Amino acid sequence: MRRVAPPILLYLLLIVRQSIAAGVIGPKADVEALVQQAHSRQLATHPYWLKLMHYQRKTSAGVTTQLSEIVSSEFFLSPEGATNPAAELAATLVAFFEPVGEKSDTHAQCRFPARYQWLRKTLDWGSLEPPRIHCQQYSAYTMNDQIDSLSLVYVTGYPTNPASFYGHILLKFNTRRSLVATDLLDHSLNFGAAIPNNEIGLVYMIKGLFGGYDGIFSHQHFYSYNHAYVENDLRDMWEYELTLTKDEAGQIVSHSWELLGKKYVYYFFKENCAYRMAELLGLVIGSPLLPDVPWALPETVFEYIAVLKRNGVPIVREIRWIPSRQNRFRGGFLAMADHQRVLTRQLVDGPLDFDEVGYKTLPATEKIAVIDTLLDYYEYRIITDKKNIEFKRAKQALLIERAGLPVQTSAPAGDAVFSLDTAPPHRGPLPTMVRLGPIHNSQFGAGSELRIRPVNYDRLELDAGRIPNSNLTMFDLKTVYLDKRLRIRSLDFVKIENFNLPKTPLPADGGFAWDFKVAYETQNLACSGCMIFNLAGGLGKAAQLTQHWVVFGMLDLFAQTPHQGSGSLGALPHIGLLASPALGWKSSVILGRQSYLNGSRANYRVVRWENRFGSSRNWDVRVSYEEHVAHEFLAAVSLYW
Amino acid sequence: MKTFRGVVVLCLLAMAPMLGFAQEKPKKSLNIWVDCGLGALIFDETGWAAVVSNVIWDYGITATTSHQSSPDQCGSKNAKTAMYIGATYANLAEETAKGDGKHLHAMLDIMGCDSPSHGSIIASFRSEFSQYLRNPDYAAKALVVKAEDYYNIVQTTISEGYTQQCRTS
Repeated sequence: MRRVAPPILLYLLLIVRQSIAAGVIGPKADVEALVQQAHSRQLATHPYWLKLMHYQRKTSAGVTTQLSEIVSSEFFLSPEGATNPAAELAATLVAFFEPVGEKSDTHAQCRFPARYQWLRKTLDWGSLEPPRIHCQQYSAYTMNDQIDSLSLVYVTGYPTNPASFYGHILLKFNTRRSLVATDLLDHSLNFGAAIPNNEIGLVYMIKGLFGGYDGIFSHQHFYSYNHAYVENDLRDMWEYELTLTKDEAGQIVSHSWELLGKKYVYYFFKENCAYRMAELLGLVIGSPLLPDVPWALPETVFEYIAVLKRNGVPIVREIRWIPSRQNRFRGGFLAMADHQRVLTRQLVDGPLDFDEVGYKTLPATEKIAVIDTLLDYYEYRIITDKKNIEFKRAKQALLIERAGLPVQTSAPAGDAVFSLDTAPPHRGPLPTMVRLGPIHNSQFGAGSELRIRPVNYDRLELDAGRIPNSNLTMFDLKTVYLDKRLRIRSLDFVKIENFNLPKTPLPADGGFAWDFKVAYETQNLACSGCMIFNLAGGLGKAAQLTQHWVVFGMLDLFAQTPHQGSGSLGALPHIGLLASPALGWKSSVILGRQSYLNGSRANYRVVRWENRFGSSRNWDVRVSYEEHVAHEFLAAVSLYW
Repeated sequence: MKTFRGVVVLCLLAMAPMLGFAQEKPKKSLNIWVDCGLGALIFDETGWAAVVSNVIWDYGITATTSHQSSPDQCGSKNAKTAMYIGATYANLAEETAKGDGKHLHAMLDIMGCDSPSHGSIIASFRSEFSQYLRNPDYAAKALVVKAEDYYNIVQTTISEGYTQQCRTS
């Protein structure tokens, strides 16, 4: 009895025959058989194929279909490839047999090496031999198949750019060191939004949030990223070298080649660099690298990958710190003996005089430590003030002096980790928090508070793996149950505080403290149903008295929607103290006065004393007192994940 | 953001041949800094390095265009070296003064110099560079000028003593 081919197979064969009729391939029957074989093995629904094509299941009107997240038509070989995995698979197999034109790099085997390698492994090709092609550009991308391992690189947050608050991810292809001496020449993969130059801030935010930009993979040599982030932006990087097999690393590299320049829709909160890098690694790593929540944070990927094991072997082989130029001079300074530090300070404060006795009598190794630290310091000053000729002259003098000293490489960066109290991102605060506890309000009596915060940390949380004492929160929702009513106390859309503390006594290390907040909140603690929108920002200065004591003074200005004639503009000057009096206890005290510059011109005392107890990343206990027209006490337990 | 910056650089470089080579005389020798668009077009003093795409080495989205639209010599090791020096000049200057460093080794790798020869090559141009640093105008020079001067010091050192160890074609 003759078997009847199912309609989908007939359709696929029609595609193949059309291609053959166009004269693009030779062994017609064999290629047809290969497509039939792929169909009978249901490869079009194989998870690996779906990952390679970035299909997502979509359900509409009760019908489930596959739709690729890639919107560039050149990613597909079938006109229906974006929505039809089987058609794309058939077209891909056919394309592998196309004759090689003048530009071999444009052949399907060269454009889609991950598809080719997987289908070669998965199907029985028998005696079928597609054209042998040397893919020159792809071969150069893989350094002629000399990539030994992969590293996931975390770029720390950049507080001056909203898109970089939460850090960034790169994927570095580690070339065999016998081929190139350093990792500066390794290829590195980046994913980001394609944003027009000089985009207006508000447009940037709105389009970033709602899918107004293309997201694109690109690559450069690592030295370019090193220069852009570490040297220019003064951001640290943390490199996590992975224990992927050579074959697994090869799959990632070949698939990344297929993705270069292809467009996705970029969404700031979820379909961002963290999401796409985790998705790319998911091609070979079976475990998820992000939770199933509506946002994706770079540091979460590192949180997941740092504890991941396969067959008992950690997937992270080694973690390496790449300090920023700023942290290099800080680390160099703190690593020196007291007399070298004093001398360094003298050379910065006074004329750069190498004939000065204190310097001349130093042994060469100590001179080198001083000069190398000052080279980093003055390059930092040049980066932050490019037009200052005095810094350039100082650096010139230091270069001349250094060239007269013996050859000696600087100490490894890792030495400074401990002196700077720096920690990798996976040891930082867990971003998502829920807090619950009883409160007592002088106006409304006893009640309870429930607080939910998706990201990221407040000033009292553990300082490892973040800017110490800073605050970076988004969509921080505080609700209270008081007077037998559940109500919103505040919703902080975004709240940032950065004390910008110096780590050395050298001038320009550190800077102004600043804060910024956009919130929907109650007018004060004494009123009910008195919600206002509030936009606030301020400048000030903080000083580190000891390792555990920080004092600060700030002047915040705010604009709000008025409530019962309160006024809409005002100021909140305040002073404060941050302290860690004992292990597992961190405390913050603020004293200020809120004054309206229009409307009622009223002014109120503001007092806030908050305490964190506990040293766990997963929980803490908070006890606080707040005064703003009314008084309120809170004792609560926080859980983090 | 970085992606777009890369695209901007690509566009600039794609334009460079159109702007520069249309007027080029046939016998004129190639000036990498001018003819390949590596001069003021890219190297200004305002954080240009952050936008320097790996235009010549980039085999992905940018490479096809830059390779097809640039003359062969702009894809040469000399041009790659020039690009690299432009991007990392501050590090190279410091490491040259120190006498060693990974940026130096990476540069010599680009230039095709054998690893065992790196130490002696660096020692040779270290002394040249320390003389150059004594120029009273050094601090005021534009970054692009410093980078070009450095490039010339390195090239001269290699051409005068290390042609066997370095394949700079």
